[in-house]
Order: sequence, then C-alpha cells, then structure tokens
Amino acid sequence: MATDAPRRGAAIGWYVLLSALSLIVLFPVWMTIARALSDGSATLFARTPSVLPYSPIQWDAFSRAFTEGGLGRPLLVSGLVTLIIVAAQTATAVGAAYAFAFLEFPFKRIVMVLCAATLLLPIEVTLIANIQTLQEVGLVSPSQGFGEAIGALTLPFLAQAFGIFLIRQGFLGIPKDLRDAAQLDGYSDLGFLRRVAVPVTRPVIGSFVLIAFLSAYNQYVWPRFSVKTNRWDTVQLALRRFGLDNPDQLNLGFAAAIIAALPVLVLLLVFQKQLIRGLTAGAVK
Amino acid sequence: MARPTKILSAALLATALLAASCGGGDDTDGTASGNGDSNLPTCPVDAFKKASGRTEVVMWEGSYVGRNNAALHAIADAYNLSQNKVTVRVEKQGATYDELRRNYEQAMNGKNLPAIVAGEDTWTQFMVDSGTALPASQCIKVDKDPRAKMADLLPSVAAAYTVDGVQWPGSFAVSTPVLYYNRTAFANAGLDPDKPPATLAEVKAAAEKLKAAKLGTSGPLVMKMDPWFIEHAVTGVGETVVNNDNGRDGKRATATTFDNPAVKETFAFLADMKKAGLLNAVSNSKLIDHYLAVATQGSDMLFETSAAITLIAGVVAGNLDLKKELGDTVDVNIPAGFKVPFEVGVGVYPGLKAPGKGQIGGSAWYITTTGSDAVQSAAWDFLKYFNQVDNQVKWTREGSYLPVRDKAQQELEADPSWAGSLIGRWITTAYNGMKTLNADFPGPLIGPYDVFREDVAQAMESVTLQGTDPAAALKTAGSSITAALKKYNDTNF
Repeated sequence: MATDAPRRGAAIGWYVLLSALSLIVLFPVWMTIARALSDGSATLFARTPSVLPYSPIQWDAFSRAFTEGGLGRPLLVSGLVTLIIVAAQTATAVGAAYAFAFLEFPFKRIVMVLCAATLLLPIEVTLIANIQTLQEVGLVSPSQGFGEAIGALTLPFLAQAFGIFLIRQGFLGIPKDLRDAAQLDGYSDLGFLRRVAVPVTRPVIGSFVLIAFLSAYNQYVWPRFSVKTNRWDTVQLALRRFGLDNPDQLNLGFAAAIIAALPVLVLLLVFQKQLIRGLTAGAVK
Repeated sequence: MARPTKILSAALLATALLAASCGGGDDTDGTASGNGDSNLPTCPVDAFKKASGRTEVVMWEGSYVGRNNAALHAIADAYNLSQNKVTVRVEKQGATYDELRRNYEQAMNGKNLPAIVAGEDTWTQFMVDSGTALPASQCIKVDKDPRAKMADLLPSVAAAYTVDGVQWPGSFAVSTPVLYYNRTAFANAGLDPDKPPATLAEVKAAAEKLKAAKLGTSGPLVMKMDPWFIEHAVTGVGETVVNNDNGRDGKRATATTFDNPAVKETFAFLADMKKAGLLNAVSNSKLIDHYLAVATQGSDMLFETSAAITLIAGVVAGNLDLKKELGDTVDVNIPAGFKVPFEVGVGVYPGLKAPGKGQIGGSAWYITTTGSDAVQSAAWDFLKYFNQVDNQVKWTREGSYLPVRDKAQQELEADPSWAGSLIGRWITTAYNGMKTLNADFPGPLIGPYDVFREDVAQAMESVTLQGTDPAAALKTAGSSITAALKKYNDTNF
C-alpha cells in the first residue's frame, strides 16, 4: 500500500504530460476543423483570433468543398498513383533486398553503397534532370493525356532505397540454417523467397507498404512539376489550386484539406500497430 | 531562394535565346529591341479549319483567381460550345506570374509550350526576345475577318504592348493599381469618405489623421512591397526607371535611372511613412496578408490591383442590398448572415503629383510558335472571339479586368444596373484612372524585368522592413539591375 501512492503519482504525472503533448499535436487538427466550419468572411474580418468556429457555422462546408473543389477526380488520380507506386516499390524492394541479403555477386558492397547513397539525395536535387528526361520522352507536356500523367507521376518512384534496406534488415533476421535447409529441400531462390522469406518478414513488408503509401499519397513537389494538366491533378495539387482560387472562402480550403486527409487517417487508425512495428524494426535486437 | 531562381531563369533563357537566334529570328545589331518585320513568323490564319476534328488550344495562366478565373473559364466554355473545330482548355500553371514564368521557361527548354500564355505586363521584351511568340499584328495584318481589327483598342494599351511597331499579344487582362480604403474609419477620423487622397502627400496626411484618431494601428496604409507601385508613380510624372527612354527609343535599356527625383521621392515616401509609423509594409512574397490587414482593421488604406474589385465587392456585399447594388447578372459570394463591420471605398491610385497616370498593368495573352499551324490559328481564333465586345463586357463585369475597348466601356455604362452598382462604380473609378495614362510614355521595356522587379522589391523591403537608407538601397538595386541588363544584352544580342 505504501508504494502505491508514489506509483499512482508518477502515473498521473505521465498522463498529464502525455495529455499536454497530445493537445499540442491535436491543436492544429482542431483548428483545421474549426476553420472548416467557420464562416469564410467572418474568418477574414475577425480582429481577435478564436479557437472556436466563427458563426454562422457552415455545416455544408465539406459537401461544398468536395463538389466546388471537384475533389472526386483528384482523389481517384492520387489513389491510382499511390497504388502503382506502392505495388512497384514493394516488388522491387523485396527482390533487391533478397539479393542483398542472400546472394553473392560481384561489387555487391559497391552496389549497396550506391543504392544507399540515393537515400541522401532529396527530390530537389534530381527534380530538374528528371523533369527534362520526362519532357524528352513526351510524358510532361501541356497536352499531357491520362496515361502520360500517370506515367510521369509514377515512373521515378517505382523503386526506392528505403524499402530495400528495411526489408533487407527483415531478411537478415532469418536464420541461415533455415535457408540451408530450404536449399537441401530443393527450393530455388524464388521458391525460398515466396514460401519462406516473404511470409516470415510479412510484418516488416506490411509496415513498408504503409510507409510507401503515406509518402506516395502525400507527394507534392514532384506532382507540382510533372503534372501540366489540371485535369490530372493529384489531390494535393487540387487542394492548392482550390485554396488559391477561393481566397474569400477560407473555410472551404480547410474542409477540402480534411477530406484529402481522410484516406490517410483511416489507414493510420486501422494499421497503426504495423506502422509502429515497421518504424521500430531493427531498433531492438 | 532568389539567387538560384535568377540563375536558373538566366540559364534557361540563355539556352532558349541561343536556340532562337540560331533560327535567325532576332536582330543582331545589338541595338534594336524588337524584330525586323521580315524575321517575324507568319500567321497561319484559319489553318485549323482544314484540320480533321477539333484542334486543342491549351492556355496557361497563373494569376486569375476567384471570379476573374470563373469568368475566363465561362468565356472559354462558351467559345467551345459556339463552334466544333476548336477546344480551348485553360490551365492554371502557378499561383503567381513568377511561377508561371518558371513553368514557361522550363517548357521553352523542351519546346513544349501551351498555345497561349497569359504573361505578366513585364514579359513584353522577354516574349519578343524568346522567339516563342507569334505577334498579334502579323495575324491582324493578314486576317480578312472583320473581328480581327480592334479600331477602338485603347491607345495606351496598344502602346504598352507594341515594340518597334509590332503588337505582340492578341488579348489583354488590364488592371491598374487603385486605393481601397475604409470609409467608416475615414469618417471616424474626420476625413471625407467621398474624397480619397489623390496624391502620395495626401495619403500621408490622411494616414496621420487616422493615426491621431487611434485607427489603423498596424500602420494606416498597408502596402505590399511590390515595385509595380513605384513604377506607376514614377511613370506617372514622366520619369524613367531605365535609360534609353525606358528601353523604348529603339535601343535596349543598359542601366537604371534611379538617380532621378521621382524615384528618390517615391522611396522617400516609403521611408518617411515607415519612420512615422504610418506604413504597414508587407513583404512582396506574401499573397493575402495586406488584404487581411484591412479586413481586421489593422490598416485602413490599401494599394492593390483593380483586378480584385469583384472579389472584394463580393466579400463586402453582405452589407448591401444586393439586387440594387450588384444587379442580377453578377454571381458573387454572399456571406451567409455575416455583416462586414465597415464600408469600403475605391479611389484612383494616388500619384506623386496627380492621381492616375502610371502605366498599363495586368497580363497579356501571347500566341506561341511551337504549335502546329492548326494550333496557332485556332489560338488566334479564340483571341478574336475573346476580344469581341460582348465577351469584353463579360470579362469586365464578372472578372473586373478593365475594358480595353472603348465600345465595351460604353456598353457597360449604358446599363444603369451595372453603372450604379458597387462593382460598376469601382470599375469606373479604376477605368477613369487608366484613361489618364499617357500613350506616348507607356512605361518601361526591360528584358530581365523579373530581375528588375526582384531587386526593386528587395530595395523596398530593405528600406521599410530593415530601415536601410533609401539612397543605399537604390544604389545596391541599381548596380544589380544594371549588371543583369548587361548580362542579358551581352549574352543574347
């Protein structure tokens, strides 16, 4: 009994601290919701900022943002682009990770270092060169069609070093004996990959799929340069265009931002365990 | 941020200009600012009529928002429905002219240009030199369609976009700076709300009165540090900002003329206003902060473009009897139940000596030369359609760009529901300001105008936001611009 009080005190302290930190994290989210529900003009003319929505409350902000912002098509474009990128990155990362983890080939270390080096290059470094290449092959132009836009949005992201290294770490955790046993049983590399390596590292691959989804869906800089036709805007581009076009109806921009965030939010809520597992993979041995 | 942009722009422009000069499109005597007539591309009028199916015309813009954007799309849609040979598709390629310019230069490099680009008023010399524009006068000259000629085009508009006798853009979105002011604050400070300040000195006097009445506490005048306002004031008194008669006497500008009294006086106005706590200076990179300053009554006077008239009128319309004030034909956003706590007025832009004057602002629409004959001719056909009086009226009425045709203004004024409306009164005020422009002195023609604007904006910000002495700030900007002019001229001509 005597030790319970300090323990309870510490627990309360932790909860207070965590609650305060949660408030800091959730404050911008709340403000986005509050501004989405606010009257656009009242927001413009407010002399003192308020954390509450400015009346009259605009309950129809979300439906107006969806229809007036034409968010349906951008959401579909973003969805398709994300799907292609995630599928391609997963396939290429699994293959490359297997090679780095289990196979021996000339210059393996150098290739690995080169692969790792691409992690250090931010998108801004390769942006102009990549855009010019895609212009030359006709994927980026003012008369960009649907296929060309999807190609331009996905092509540079079909393989990514981060996934290769994350999944390689997972593969390295597989005991060597297991591979030897599989080889004795006559498993080829592809058979071992398909029947043993991938099933055993499924949590890591699952985490990578989530991370790849988030980064592909939230892309802004690349689509900004590679999409030359408003028809094929991703949802992030549509948000910017919509916000710029309605400076007098600020609430609609916020409402559109919430709509755009919904797919990510649902994914995070449903798969948060996998995401955390993926982010901490390799942290504890 | 600024420096890499400049270097990139210069590199892209140099490449494009080199390519253009290899094609024999430019003068090579190092002096002329335009093209010899024989070197100009020919206009393939009506070529689209022989093409099978619809010809697609892509138009890039980066500056139309809200109602002027909606008006442009509505006109393009109406054009598409009016015939079956051309489809115009308007594309937003940036939030600012700078962003549009970067996209355009990038596309120039790959020769992937849109059929029409709505470039800023500063682009004229750049478009001439780029070798990517089909001059409108080439089309006007050979097109037998009576719609091609606009005899009533305002002389100041034609003069601004004409280089060595060649009119380059085919259509226009003309705006001029105006003074937006809080009429309620004016009345509360003992100022006459029906008599807005007409000169910069009167602006200062009004600001002093507002400050004394404890109004406009962030600085009674809010102003984005946009060189456009400086240029208007300087051009308004017949002074230049670059040599060779603002680059328009047949020779290119080679240096700034910042030592003239008008430039000094305008910068002194900024410095004095800031020092006295009368100016709320907003960085040129901000998009809406200056509007917000007026909305929240931190400031009561704002210099801004007349193109914002329908947008602002829509926001303040909650105070008004809409049927009476706006008429039935203007679709504005009506705030649901919210009342704007003050009245807004619009005055002609105050000059150094008199209101108005200045130079043509806004954007101009260029046909590009990289498309097929069908595309170029289809683009010209759309511009002819856009230039018709009824579309010009719609462009002004809903988009708040000023009429460039006398007939369009006459038609608007003949409609009492518009002329008496809030938008009508404000547009007419701006139009009256624009009518004071001197067609014989249409403002500067500068190749690297983007660098000029960037450097002058830096000088304005350095004076108002960092307290730099105006003479020192002007000297720094002057040297940088003169170097940019030299580099531009040396590299390309």
